Amino acid sequence: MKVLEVKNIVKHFPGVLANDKINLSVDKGEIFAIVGENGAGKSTLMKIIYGLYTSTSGDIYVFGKKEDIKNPHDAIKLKIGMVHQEFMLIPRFTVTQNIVLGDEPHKGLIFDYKKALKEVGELSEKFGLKIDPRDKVANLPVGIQQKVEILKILRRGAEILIFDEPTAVLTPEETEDLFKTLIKLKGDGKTILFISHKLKEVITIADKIAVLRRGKLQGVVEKKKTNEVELSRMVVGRDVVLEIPKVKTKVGKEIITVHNLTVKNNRGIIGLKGVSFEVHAGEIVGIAGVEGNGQSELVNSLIGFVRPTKGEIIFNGEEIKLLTPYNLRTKGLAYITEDRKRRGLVLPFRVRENIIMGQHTLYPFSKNGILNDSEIDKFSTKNLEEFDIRPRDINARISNLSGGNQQKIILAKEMSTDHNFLLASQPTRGLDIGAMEFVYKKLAEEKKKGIAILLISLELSEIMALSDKILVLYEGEIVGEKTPDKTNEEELGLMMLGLKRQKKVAK
Amino acid sequence: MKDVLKKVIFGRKEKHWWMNILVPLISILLSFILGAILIKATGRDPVVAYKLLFGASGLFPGPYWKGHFAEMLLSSAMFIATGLGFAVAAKGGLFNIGAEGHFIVGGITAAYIGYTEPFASLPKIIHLPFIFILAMLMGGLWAAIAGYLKAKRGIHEVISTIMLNWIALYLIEGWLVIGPMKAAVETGVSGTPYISQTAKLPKILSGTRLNISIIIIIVVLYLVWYLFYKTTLGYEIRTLGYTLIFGMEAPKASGINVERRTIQTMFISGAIAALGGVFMVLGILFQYPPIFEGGYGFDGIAVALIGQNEPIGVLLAGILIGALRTGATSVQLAHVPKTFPSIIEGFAVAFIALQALVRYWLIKLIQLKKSTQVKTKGDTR
Amino acid sequence: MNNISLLNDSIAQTLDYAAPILFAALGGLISENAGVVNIALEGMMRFAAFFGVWGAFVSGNPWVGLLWGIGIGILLGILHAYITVKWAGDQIVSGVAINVMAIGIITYLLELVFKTTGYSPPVPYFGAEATRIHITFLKDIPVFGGFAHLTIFVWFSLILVVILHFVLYHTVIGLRIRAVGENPRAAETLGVNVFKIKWFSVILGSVFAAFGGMALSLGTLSSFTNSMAMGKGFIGLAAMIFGKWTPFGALAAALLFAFAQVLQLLLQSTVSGFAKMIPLGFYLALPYLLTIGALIGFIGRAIGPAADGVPYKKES
Repeated sequence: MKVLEVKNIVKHFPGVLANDKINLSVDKGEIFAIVGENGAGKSTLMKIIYGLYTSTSGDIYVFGKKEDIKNPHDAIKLKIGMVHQEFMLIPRFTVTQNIVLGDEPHKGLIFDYKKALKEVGELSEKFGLKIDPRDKVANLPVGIQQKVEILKILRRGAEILIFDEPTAVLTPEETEDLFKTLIKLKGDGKTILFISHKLKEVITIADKIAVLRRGKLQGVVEKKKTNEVELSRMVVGRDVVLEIPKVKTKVGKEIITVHNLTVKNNRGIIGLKGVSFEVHAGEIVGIAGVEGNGQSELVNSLIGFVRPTKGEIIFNGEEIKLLTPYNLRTKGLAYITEDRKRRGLVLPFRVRENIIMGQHTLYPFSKNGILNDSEIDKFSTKNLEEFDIRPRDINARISNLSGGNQQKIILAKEMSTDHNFLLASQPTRGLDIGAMEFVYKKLAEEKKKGIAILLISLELSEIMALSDKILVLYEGEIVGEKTPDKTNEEELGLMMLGLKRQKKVAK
Repeated sequence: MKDVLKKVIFGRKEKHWWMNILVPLISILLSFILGAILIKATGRDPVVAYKLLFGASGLFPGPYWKGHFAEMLLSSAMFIATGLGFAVAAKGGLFNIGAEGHFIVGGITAAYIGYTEPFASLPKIIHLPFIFILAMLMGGLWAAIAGYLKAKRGIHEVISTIMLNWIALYLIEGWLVIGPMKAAVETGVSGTPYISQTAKLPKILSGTRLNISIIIIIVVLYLVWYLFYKTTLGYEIRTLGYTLIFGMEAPKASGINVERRTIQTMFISGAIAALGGVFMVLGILFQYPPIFEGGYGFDGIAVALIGQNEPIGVLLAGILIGALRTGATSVQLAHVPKTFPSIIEGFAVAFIALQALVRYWLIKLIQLKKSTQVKTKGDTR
Repeated sequence: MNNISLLNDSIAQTLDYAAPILFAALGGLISENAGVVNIALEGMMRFAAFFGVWGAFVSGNPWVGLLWGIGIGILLGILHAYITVKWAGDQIVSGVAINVMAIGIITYLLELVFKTTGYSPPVPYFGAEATRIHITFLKDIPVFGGFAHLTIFVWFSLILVVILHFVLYHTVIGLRIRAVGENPRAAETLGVNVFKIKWFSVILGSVFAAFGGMALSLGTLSSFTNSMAMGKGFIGLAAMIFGKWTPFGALAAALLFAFAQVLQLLLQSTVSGFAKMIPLGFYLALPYLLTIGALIGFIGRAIGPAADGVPYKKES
């Protein structure tokens, strides 16, 4: 029986076609996975089904009937429940309070907590989700918190359960636990949709798998009728062939060495597990991997935002893991971020004010604390030219520039500093072809100048074309070290998705 | 309605920059209108009242103009000081409600250094600047406490500055002024002793009380403007504003030391607000009295809010509020109590708080105009 | 005998002093538990103190005054809620606006109504013997004797602590209020009407603050003077924080702060040398010093509701 059908769902956002005529149908009792890379449109589709977004066009059929889902309440009424990637829990409250909020058992005005405890206990038993109704959510590990979220939607009678990247925050043991839960729920007749980019897990648990890429449905395959290789090809795909300059340079001495680097993420979980590698002058080392496998922890430790729990970082011969961002920059670090709005730029500021950020205390931009406007203007104008930023207005507010131009400002800002190590984290994210080519050109120039470059990217073609050495990051570990001539996208894809592991990895 | 609301609350950053000038102007206008309604409702004549109010405010020529003008500038200087203090902190993303406290800390320091030997016998050219420096230092330190609590402990500055205000008040009026700094009984003076001649602010308009405080504060205003837009410190403080409120990490990633700047910003804010107290003691009261008529702190916040936290706005708003204060005594002739200006102020601040609403009205107005324009265009076709 | 009556009188005085602080603290905390900061407690207390007296004056009946006070409390609550909840306006700025307006409007009205500059004539009030609650048999019992002749305000403030505690921690509405102050988005996704709850809490909080103001003018003093409520609203804020945003915590804090005041008076009037050495200012500053200490964590971190002070805007 078809429990859920989406027909020709289209979703436009300004400048982006997030969902391009998606057609799916889900049968009762199925575990249906939706996979794809970041920006593929998976989350958008789910949010449309759950009523958080409205589709630009297209229809949704629930239990065979066409429905108009305008908000989460409508979805809940249709027995659809969603466990978001970021939990909607109140840390100070107990498990029970969180679960029954909004639908509390009561005697008149009084909250019947005893009854609530009992109900939650029974629910927990029924679905095999072991939780202690009295526990305070703040004290619970993430895996248990997730169970609370699941119980929340089950209590409201959810028959169709949507999970948005449920394993992103879980440890391997918790993931196993979750899968046991999902299978049990399936046995109870529930239908499960879940979004993931971790193919290895998806193959284990899903019955059917739909692959989305850049808003389009690539296909729906049954687990039994497919294999890992086919899947990863569908996910990773073949991109438009770009003109990426291959530059041969003489590789110099070690600029930055990372040894046994272990870093926690902001949830307190170890995200980077004892990683080691080095980058030489004039070399581009590419880190390939799907988002969420340790890249942000790596970046945060390198730029001085987070202190590693273990390991060393040696930069220009100095141990630097305890230094502040300011010190790191004076020692020659430059950082291109993909998080333009928060990390790269101060949006309400003008172009000229952003472009000198980080160098503003240096001569000639300021002397004795007084800014030299004419020098700043000269520098800004020069860079706007050099990086072909439009409009050519040094006083324009960054928020008025397009994403591509904003990224170019970040490039200008960073590449104009006195540096010998460039950390480029997804430098071409959100850019059009032309802008991307520009970035590659600039990176090649950097390389020729003898800068050591660590390139972190989700685009395999980029990594393959630019890197001298490729490291694949999966679940916080380096699972492969290859040179581009000795591998291909297929192999890298498998490693990125956890399906293949190189036996001997770099020191 | 919902989309306009969204645009107004979320997207108001730079699309309509001229709104930043219109909003305070409209807020003030609306407050005056509301004030007039209030006067009418209580059976008095608003036209007469406002005529008296503005006539005696020092803004417009009229009888006793010289005196009123002087009083207005004296008042305004203090409002601009506390207003600037708030504005500096606000630019750095900090809500400093401590102006009252900084004001009196500056005042008591000025009084003390003003009457105590060996300072009191110093020549004016040394004594006066020395008082200023010390008073600003004390005010700055008092504010820096709140800055430190915020930077290192994450304690919200609204609460800590409010607490510190009262601590300052009680320690000063409940201890210093009635204890160690109390004037000797024989002198018959209540409060601290009077400051020496060399501590008094020089007068600049004969026949009035007007002293150099207004000049000093305008110079400080210029320095603050210069600081914000021409120095690296000011630049970093402005980025702090976006860091603390919008959670942006770019400044930190660029190497800016957020903690240090937080404390420094509060210091500067307190030092400037303390100037208000210095002006009061060195230019008007010449001592620190047992009971201090406050109000310059909170009104400073109003001044800054109306002035949109920009130096030029604070100047204009400060003069306006100073003028209203001065004209207040005369408004009693129309049987309107002299606290009327603070009612207007309150209304204005309320409208500033409601700026989402005001902007919404403005946008609706624009849309209305646009639609009528389009209509007429269509007609001519 | 003397010592017992001294003890009892001190207790009664402490309770008297504590009542306005407690009301303000409770008013602040019901609002902040729903996520809306209210620093206008001071202004609201003033307004209510005045309107209460006005109403009693006009009608000759303190109960009518009480109604007037409650009425202005509701109006001010609506104003604050309108600005901060409906228009997501800055909660601090709104509070400042109300505080600034308070003195101005009240002085205005004082002149208008009573033709005075800063005080009202005495009015029938609840502090009068007739309207106090007499439990005479307690009079000579130590400690309990302090409860023998309290005003209805004091009793109401104590009862309110219990009621509020019960409501916040044992009723459905209380759970939802707290949820809204912690994570409004989560509450919204579960069908809780966040806006309605915020409106309700803000207005209720304002009404409590109003009681606090009236406790002064209609309860203890029988008239209104401009200098009367000076700072009580802010001490209330401090008590709320010190009491960690809980009703019983606020009670303890209010009693502590009030006791500091009473102690100071006691010590000043006795002739013991040591006590006289501690200046008045230190006693008065004590509540605020303690609160800062609480915030720093000397008495365990005082952390408020997670979404306190954050204007709530609905998602796209």
